[in-house]
Amino acid sequence: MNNNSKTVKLVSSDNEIFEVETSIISLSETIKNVLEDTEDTESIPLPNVEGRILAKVVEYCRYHSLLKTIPQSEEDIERWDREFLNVDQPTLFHLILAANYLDIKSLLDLTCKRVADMIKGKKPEEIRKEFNIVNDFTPEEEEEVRRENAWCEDP
Amino acid sequence: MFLETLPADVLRNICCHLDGISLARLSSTCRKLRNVCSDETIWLACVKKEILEDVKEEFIPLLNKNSPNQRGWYKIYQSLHGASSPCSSGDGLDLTTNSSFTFDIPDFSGLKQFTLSFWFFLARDADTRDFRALCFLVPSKETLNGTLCLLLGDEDNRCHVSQVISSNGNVQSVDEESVSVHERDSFLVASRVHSTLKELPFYEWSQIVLVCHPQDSDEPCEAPFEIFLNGESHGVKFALPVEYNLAANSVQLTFGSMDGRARLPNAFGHLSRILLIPRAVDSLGLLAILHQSSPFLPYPLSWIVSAQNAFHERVNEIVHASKSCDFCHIFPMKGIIYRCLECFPSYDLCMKCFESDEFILGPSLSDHRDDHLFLPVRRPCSFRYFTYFRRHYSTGLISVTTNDLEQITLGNTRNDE
Repeated sequence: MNNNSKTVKLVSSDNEIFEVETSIISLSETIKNVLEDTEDTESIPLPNVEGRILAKVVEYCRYHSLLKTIPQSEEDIERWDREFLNVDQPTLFHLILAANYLDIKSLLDLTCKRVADMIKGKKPEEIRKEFNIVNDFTPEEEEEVRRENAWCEDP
Repeated sequence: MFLETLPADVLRNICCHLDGISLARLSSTCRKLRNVCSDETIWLACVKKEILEDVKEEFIPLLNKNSPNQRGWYKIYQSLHGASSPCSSGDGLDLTTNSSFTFDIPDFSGLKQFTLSFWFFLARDADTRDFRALCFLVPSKETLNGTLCLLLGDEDNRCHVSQVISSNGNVQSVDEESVSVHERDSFLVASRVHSTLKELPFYEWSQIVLVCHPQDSDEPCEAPFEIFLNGESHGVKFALPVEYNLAANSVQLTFGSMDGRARLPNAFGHLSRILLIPRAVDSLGLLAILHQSSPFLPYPLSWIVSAQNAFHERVNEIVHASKSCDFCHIFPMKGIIYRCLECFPSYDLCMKCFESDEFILGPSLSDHRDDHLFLPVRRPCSFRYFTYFRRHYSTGLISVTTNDLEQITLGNTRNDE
């Protein structure tokens, strides 16, 4: 049997099944380890990952492993990544968690960088609004934090 | 699904993609994010990637050596970032950054010359064997615009000014010895290094004396600055006075980089103190002596400004009832008394004798020599600071605080009398 065409079934938390070539999904260190440890694995349950997120992850892995055989220009890759991350915030966070769980470093970096870009250039109040962060500082703490970080605000 | 519910290592990954300012702002949003953002390794990464990007890895830990507090890198980032103004806050001036402070001199018209004495942290590049130091002076008026000198030592350990960087960011390479830059609108500088520099081990302190000859003519000045490097003694060297008037009434001193981003050798440019002492015959009194300290500096910074309007209309009303001139023996003396900084017992001159220069040529019973410096003293009460001043002047440890001419107060110091 050709190694490239060997597939594995990934089962999401909502029991959606994705049949993926092992060569593609090996971008995930977690799955790679499972495949190496156990022979003839037919399906891997991923109870932490929803189907729609897993679909995105597989899409990412498929594109990026394809790059190994069909190289693309940096610009094209960037455009694809940008397009890929054009999702709402909950999806983005779930993608981060999935990338973290599946240990896909490039995807984790990509998604974290996306979040960092959303934070950049915003004032604390704007960051809270953007991410629905609840200000849990006491008034005293808040004053302390404000004083401490006064240097980064314009006078 | 919220940002703050993400696992800590993921949040740290996000933080690693942030710049320092965003990081500080993010830490102001909630407790959890504040905890994550206080991770020192993230701040160290920020210092490395934003500020010290062209610095060799092994130098970086040296920066944090003197700050035992837990948030060392955060504070270093904060100070290197340059957004803080240590002078206005009174916390001290951290010269690893592009700190600047301004002092106002009430009337500069009488000042003919002033001398800046810098203590620099000289660093020696292990590969190129270059010495690096940085000094930067930005007066506010166009008569003296700005200068940044990078001093490098060559193979023979001779120091020369290799680059002059103007306030508009132009970098100009300059020849050894003769230096003059005719960019009058942006700045003017000419530097000449008179002494050779002894080979210094890495991170040894040395001294650079920058002598400034302000001028008010429209022609570019051939040599408005002179720099003396003195790697051995800690004495202050003065040039002979040059007859120039400084029209500016405010001088700003800036240390560090000019583009708002500190880089080494700035970080090596630890400057511990500046002395601004007039050699001018018609300036008098200690005008302002500031004492600054910084956690990142091995030594406190103090700077002295001494400048006065010699033609103050009331100067002749001041009578020094117990003093007589050591040259013309007039008694009592009126106005400014010029007391020699070197002679003991004291050698005093009245204004008339001092200005006439006759005392240099005429016979004198004292040991006074004409290369001695005088400290102008206007008020009788100022004499009690003289001993103090002279002693520290010779050792270079003056740290006196005063806000105005009328009331000279001493801070952090002992009064000798």
